[in-house]
Amino acid sequence: MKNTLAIAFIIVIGLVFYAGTLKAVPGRVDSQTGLPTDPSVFGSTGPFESSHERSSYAIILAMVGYHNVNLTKDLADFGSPDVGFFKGKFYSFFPPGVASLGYPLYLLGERFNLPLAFAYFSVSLAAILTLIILYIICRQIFKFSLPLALLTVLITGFGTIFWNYSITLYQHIPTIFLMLFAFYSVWRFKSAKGIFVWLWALAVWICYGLGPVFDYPNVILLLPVMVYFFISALRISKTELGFKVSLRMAFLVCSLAMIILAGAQLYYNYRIFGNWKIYTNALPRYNQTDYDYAHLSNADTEAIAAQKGQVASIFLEKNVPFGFYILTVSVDKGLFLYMPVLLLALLGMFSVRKKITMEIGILAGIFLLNLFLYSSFADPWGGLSYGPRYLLPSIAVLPIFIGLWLQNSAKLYWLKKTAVFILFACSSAASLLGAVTRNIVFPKNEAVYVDTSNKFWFNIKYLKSGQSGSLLYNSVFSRYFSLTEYYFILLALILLIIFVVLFVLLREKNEPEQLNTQIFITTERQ
Amino acid sequence: MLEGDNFSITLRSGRILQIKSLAKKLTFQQWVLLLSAVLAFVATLYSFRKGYIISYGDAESHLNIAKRVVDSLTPGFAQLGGVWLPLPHLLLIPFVYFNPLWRTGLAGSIVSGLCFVVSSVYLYKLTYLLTKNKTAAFIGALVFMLNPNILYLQTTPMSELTLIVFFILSSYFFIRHLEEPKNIGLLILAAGFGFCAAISRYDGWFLVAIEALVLALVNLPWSEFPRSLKQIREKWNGKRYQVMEGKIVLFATLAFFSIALWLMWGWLILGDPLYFTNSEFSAKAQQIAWALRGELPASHHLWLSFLYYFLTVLSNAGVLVFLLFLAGLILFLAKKKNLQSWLIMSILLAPFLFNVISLYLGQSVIFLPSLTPYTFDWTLFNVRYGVMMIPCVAVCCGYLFSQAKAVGRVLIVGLIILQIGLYTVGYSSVITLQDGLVGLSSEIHKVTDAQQWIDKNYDGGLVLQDDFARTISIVKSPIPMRNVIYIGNKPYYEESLKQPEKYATWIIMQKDDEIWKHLYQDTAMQGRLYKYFVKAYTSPEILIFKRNPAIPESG
Repeated sequence: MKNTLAIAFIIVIGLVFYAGTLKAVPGRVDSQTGLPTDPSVFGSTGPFESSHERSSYAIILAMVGYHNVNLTKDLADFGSPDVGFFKGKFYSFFPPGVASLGYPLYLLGERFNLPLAFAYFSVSLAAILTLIILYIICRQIFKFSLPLALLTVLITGFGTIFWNYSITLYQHIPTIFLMLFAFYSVWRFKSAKGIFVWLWALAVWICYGLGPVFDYPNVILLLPVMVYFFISALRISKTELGFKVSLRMAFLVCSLAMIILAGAQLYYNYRIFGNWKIYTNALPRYNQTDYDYAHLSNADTEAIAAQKGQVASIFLEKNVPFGFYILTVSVDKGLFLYMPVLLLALLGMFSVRKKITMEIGILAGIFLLNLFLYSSFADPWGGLSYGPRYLLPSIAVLPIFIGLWLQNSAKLYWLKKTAVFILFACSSAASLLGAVTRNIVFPKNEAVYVDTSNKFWFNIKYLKSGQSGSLLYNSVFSRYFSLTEYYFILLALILLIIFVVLFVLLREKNEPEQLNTQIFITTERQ
Repeated sequence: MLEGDNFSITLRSGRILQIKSLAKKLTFQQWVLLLSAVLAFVATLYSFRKGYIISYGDAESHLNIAKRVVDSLTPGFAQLGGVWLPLPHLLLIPFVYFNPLWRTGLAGSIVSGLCFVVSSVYLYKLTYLLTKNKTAAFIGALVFMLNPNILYLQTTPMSELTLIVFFILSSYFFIRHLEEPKNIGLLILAAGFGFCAAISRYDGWFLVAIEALVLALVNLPWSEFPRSLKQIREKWNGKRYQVMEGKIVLFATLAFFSIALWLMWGWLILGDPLYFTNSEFSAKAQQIAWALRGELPASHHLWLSFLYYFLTVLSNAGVLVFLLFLAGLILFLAKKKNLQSWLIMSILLAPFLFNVISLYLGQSVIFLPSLTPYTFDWTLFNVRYGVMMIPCVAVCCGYLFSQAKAVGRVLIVGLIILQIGLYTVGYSSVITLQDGLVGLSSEIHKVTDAQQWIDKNYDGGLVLQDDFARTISIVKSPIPMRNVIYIGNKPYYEESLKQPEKYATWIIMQKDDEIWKHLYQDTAMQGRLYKYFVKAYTSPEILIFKRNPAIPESG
């Protein structure tokens, strides 16, 4: 019962805060182009302030308007520069996963004259589901008490840039969902019996197979979970004859699901581009000024795509030092600058160094691989992202280490809780600032050219001038509050919730609870 | 086979025992010897086939210096010069004597390869000394042997491997002496190899200085460390002082003798004991040129000096192995809390200190793509200095392995294998090879049209050229070394700058090099040049003149 209430609580606060900051505008689309008619959507703080959102949304419009994923000239111009071309046709750089999530909700939203809002809200729903999975992981795998699990979820959902990417059209939240769900499924697979062994194994492989549908690097990012899966399926025992190495059949057979999904994607590439190795992200970039060239040219695009698509040319060790700096402590995108609360996760890692379980090791592996991979990426900034968006998979798991830090020792408990509260307040304030104003920050080099700042607190300017992309604020609350007041109301609300969880519900004696797992464990063990 | 819900394979004990007994036919040390020899051979073969052996400009210079000792217009030991320390060239001499080994650079591969094999074996012994664990020592040796930057450099005539072998040998015997203080033979060996290190590269000077300092610190003449001025007298132990004095004198007499010899060499042969740092060919002089261009970023900037070398080591070790090294180093310092262990680590870290200090003082320069501003003329240069730290990296990885439990050990081995994989797929680049191919250290990317021209048209006779400018490569041309007139051929060179027709049949000059300045910029000399020579080749930067046979020599 308590868990049901906790999950209901997560759903409610997810709906309130994500809907309250969702970037969208009401209104219909131009019947010719399929694009929104309201010009404000393209400006700063609007739902299309970044080409990432435009390019993903262009796929939805192409699906709705043309039942296809290739873009018309209007849509290509709209999504540019995150659009590639191949033999006279235009494609979004991004795989169609996010657009596929948004597509049905877009159609539903059309009935309420809110297609854009509904399409974007598909990501918010994925975010709420992710938080629920995270809660279940904290409770079941790490045996957190209910308040501690809630705290972990709240830190992830509202004390990090997870919030900023839950209210707009990016691939990161679905990626995290797949990663956490796969992680949880492996844990269930380990102890499952009967048909459930097969179901959980199938779930893991489907998550892995779906990974690249949302973002190509997911093939690498999900590897720690797949290693966990492999180790969980492996048994080595000593027999009279020698050593017996066994692999669970479900692991092998269910991999067919992943093979089918991967095969479908490769076949899709083959059908569209004539080469299974070419994928949209590797296509030559389209600029609006080069329409004729892009439209008419078909020379060398295949070679460019083949070369550009090589993983070894995208991620390079020589980028690591600079990328590491950008992603961790730089003013532009530093993880610990935007989300100082995550510094406590490092203490958490240190606190569990002598009792590392497989699950803790895998979570640390996710963080390290994620950081390592994107440190070596040529563009560690993630374009105009608000904070280190490439580290979102880590951002989702690091709060678990904060939970472990609180769980493992009751020493100076009040001090620890106060530290969590203060750092959460700073992190949440930074995230909310982007969520209600401009959800982008220019890297230093680019900021100079467009006469803006590379610091996130520059967005206070938009807060003061009342410029927001929030649908609810612009449509309803702007009549009653200034944007600054709205910002502080939301911040006060989330801080109040955290305060109650930290100082009222979370007790010093934080032994793992005897779980009431009734709602999680279904009939499989019966 | 299928067993219920599992797919199983049984590894029979007999097979495992067979593999075990096969592995046990050789000891770990013998495996290191065998593996290192095989790796050295394979890497050299690869480098040879790809033409990478003499990709560095300095690689050819090392070969040529050694060659001139036995085969030049004025052969002799004076050809060793006074800037680069002589031991690497002395070791090359028996091999460069043979033209094919000189021209292909294989002479250098043999010397560096032998150094690599000995280094691998003694690195194994050194790691074992510190860990008392044979598997960990083997892992340490593997980290060293499989490092692609080390593997590449051991195929070349560069002097890094020569220093590394003596660095390892000296450190090994020195550390053994610290563990067995009564065994003076070990100290003499450490000093002897320190002597060799100090006449291989200037890094060796720092090593012997650190070793002498460590020797003093572990033999402090107090029965207890004095905590006040008063205690300095009270705790004084005369016997300990005598031991310290004796050991330092013994060590320094041999180890520092190389430095004294080199200063004397500079004084006697070149007229200045500090010729190696004061001459126009010294690293210092080159660094001044960089400083004037504003492209000496680490000079007098401690943080940048540290960062440059730190990242250079990272680039040479590979990022995963580097992380293991850091973990091993921290663990070593955290676990071994006695002064002696810290001092041992300071010896292994000597190359780090030396390079940071050199960068800070502006005595050396490193350009690294991840750190050097792209506005600089070059962003890749001298990154090979980072390989000096690979022995320390290997030892720390071995130490980490020795301290880890089963899962940790699997993880360490997994990360080392993954690092090799990252090199294989091109994620990690072999940065020393990159420098040789496209960096400022590279010679092969500078192969000029003039080089091809002279290769085709050289038909005998003496060739006057400025060796320092490296206008054309001698080893790659058909010109015999004894037909080259360069600055080290007294009096041929000086006389040729006044009477170019006296000895030379060919004159090769590059814009602004010494020959150009003397014979081409000076209008009077230019007239003389054109009187006796005809311009046979012209390009915007390089001119080649050939003696006009119709004009007889001047009286």
